[in-house]
Amino acid sequence: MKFIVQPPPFTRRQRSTTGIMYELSALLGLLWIAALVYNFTIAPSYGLKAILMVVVAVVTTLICDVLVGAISYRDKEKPFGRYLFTRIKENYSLVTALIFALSLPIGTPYYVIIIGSLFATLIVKYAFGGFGANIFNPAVFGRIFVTFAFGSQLRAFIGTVPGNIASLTDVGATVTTSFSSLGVKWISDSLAGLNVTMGQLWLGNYSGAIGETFTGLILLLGLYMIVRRICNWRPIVAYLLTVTLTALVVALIAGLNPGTYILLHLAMGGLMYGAVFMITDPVTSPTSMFGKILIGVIAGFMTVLIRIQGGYPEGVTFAIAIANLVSPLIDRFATGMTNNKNLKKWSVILSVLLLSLALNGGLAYYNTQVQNPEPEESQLVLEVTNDLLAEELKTDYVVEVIK
Amino acid sequence: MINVFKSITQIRLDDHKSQASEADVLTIDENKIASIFIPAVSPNGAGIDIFVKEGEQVSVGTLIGRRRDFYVPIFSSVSGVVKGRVSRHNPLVGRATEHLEIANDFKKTRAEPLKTISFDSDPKDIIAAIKEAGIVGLGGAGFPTYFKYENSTNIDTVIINGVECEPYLSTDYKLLQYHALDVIKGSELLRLAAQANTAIIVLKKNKTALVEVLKKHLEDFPHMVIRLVQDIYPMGWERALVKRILNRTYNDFPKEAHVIVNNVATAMATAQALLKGEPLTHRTITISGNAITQAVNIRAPIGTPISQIVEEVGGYTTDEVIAFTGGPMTSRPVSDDSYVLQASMNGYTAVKPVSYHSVPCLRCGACNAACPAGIQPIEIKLALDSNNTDRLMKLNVNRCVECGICSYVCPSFIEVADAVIRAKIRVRLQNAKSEIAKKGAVK
Repeated sequence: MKFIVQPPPFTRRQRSTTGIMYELSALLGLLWIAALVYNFTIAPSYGLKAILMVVVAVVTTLICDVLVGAISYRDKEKPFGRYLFTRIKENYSLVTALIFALSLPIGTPYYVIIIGSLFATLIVKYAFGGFGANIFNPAVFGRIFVTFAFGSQLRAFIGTVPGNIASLTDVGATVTTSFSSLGVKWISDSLAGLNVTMGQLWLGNYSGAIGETFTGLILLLGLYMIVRRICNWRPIVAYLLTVTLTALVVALIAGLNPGTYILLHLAMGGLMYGAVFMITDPVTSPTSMFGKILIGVIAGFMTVLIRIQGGYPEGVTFAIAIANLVSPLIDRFATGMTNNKNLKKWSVILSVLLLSLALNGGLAYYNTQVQNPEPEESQLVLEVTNDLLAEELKTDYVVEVIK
Repeated sequence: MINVFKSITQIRLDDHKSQASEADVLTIDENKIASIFIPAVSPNGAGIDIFVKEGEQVSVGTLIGRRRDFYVPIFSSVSGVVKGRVSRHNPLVGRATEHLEIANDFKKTRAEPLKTISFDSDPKDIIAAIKEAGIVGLGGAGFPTYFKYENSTNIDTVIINGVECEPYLSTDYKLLQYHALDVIKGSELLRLAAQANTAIIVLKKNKTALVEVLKKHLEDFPHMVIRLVQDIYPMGWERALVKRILNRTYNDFPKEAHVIVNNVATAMATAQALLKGEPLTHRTITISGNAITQAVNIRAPIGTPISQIVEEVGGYTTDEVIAFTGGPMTSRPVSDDSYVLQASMNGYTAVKPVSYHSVPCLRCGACNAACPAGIQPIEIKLALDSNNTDRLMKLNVNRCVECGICSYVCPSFIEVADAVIRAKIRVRLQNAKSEIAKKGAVK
């Protein structure tokens, strides 16, 4: 008779981290399939590229895993193969690779994907101690890195623009970039000149980052993840709610259609993708539930701020990076009991939210009313002439066809 | 208001109770018990004064000793001869302690019964009788019952806890099934002792059959009500019960909220001692787990070695087991089954070993959200791992009730609960150190 002594409790919930991570990978796989279907309908070369982009990212992170495993192999008694297998299995680099690859547009060169994956895995993840110890989300920082280093290479098409893609206003730019360069930055409720409809923005059948465009599908995946408890609902809800409320205030101040404007904010620039797959990353979130709400609010605030005032077309990844940055600070602030000081916690959350509403609203007012006041008569005349010119051109075209 | 900073859905455990709770309660064959062993040290480590000498003849119910820290008399549970002192493992103290060995003469002669009282007695007399009968909390804590009543004033409610939220255990259920009237009478006595208006018997929602049994007897006791609570863990925790039933909170003890909480087994022991004059000499224990041949509730004299009880119900099914006194959530494992049955032990569970492979913490915060005490187990573990005692002090470590939920919910299978328990010890040490330093400074 042998009595084994180990710490209580002697019954455990069956949900495991490994299970959560591989279920998440499966969901990202679904998103990848959606991307493949869409890209194959454009051209076979697009579909193949979408396959290879993810494969390249996954293989690169796998090589990093092996490399780091070989360096850190100390326990000579354990066979190297088994050590490596556990290491790869429990560092969940697959998730990082998928999130990173799906956030890149179709025209990204392979070397950019490789460098980005190397940076994400080696520098952002392993340099800090691997899974569970990294303070920044590897996929988010990999994406930011390639944005800074290879910004002009991240194109929405391969080679030249093929005939059946709707021509873009600004060749090489994604829909978000074009949208943000129209008129006053991010203050417009019109999709004119973008060749996408609101329906396309939510369905995802337009060109952009290969996985980020499927806003509706990502929202469904997010709901599934919340129900299955793969991720916490708090950061997603807090993030989307903050963006919605801030967009509402901005729309009211700038005199835009609030409904359309909110939907544009939620559908563009990979916001839903960031909300469901990036900000929910538990490793880089605070451990307290209060903190999980607060980073959602902070990220929402920063997203809208960067969008309407910052130097980049959109700010989801930057906002999430800032949220990661303040997470340890929030953990310090939330030290103590989780079920008291509720008033204090709510007032912190509400004051960040109010700051977001006030600052973004104020900037919207400044940008539209003070800096760029309503077009004056002479400008109107000019626009009218332009319209007439366009009319004339059309007529010419019609005449040509008739001929 | 729902607190979104905590988990909204509660923990529902797989209760594993059905096998033991559907079987009839067995009684151990006392003719097979050669000797019983009464610990000479109480569960909290305080000594026990022994009044009997080697070779002295004792009967069932003979006073053989009394605790030094509280007034708790100890009675012999068999008749026979005092053989002397032996050293045995005592899991409640956590080390080997002296035990008084009494050899059974199988005659079952009874000592003079205790002084009985009636429902009309003065509350002070009831408390004195409880004190003389040596009643302690039988739900697992083993805290002297009289102490709660002697030191409380302005009590308006006595809660009789029959929730039994730990998996595997079903002694309270069987007691209510067989001895409903005794439990009700005991509850009435406890209510009178506290001079409270009401006594509330609390049961789990899924125990509807018991409600029928109890209701038959309740007509004669107008001050007694039955309340049902959800089947969630840890609903049987005092603080959770007082909050759920009366919506009151307190800092240290339930008496601050004008409540006293007692277990149903304690109520039954009170009734038997005060009305029939039988001191606490026997108790029912649940023997169960998937490594036990036959899961069953069995009544045995206090002081019987557990190994003997397990043998009586058929022994183990495997060669390797994890065994513990009580339920799987809170109990510490035992290194063998040679220890003896004590008054506060309500279960012995042996399960087949399962090893959990832990992976790094993914900071999901499930333990923080689920903690019923409202502390942050993972933050405590991180602070402990980095030897940061200052931060431990700020994390309210002492609030931990060792319910084990943090380890239960952890998807990475990290021993969070174990870390928090170690952190508690460290904080206690640190407090003691600073106290000594303070005293030194005064001198």
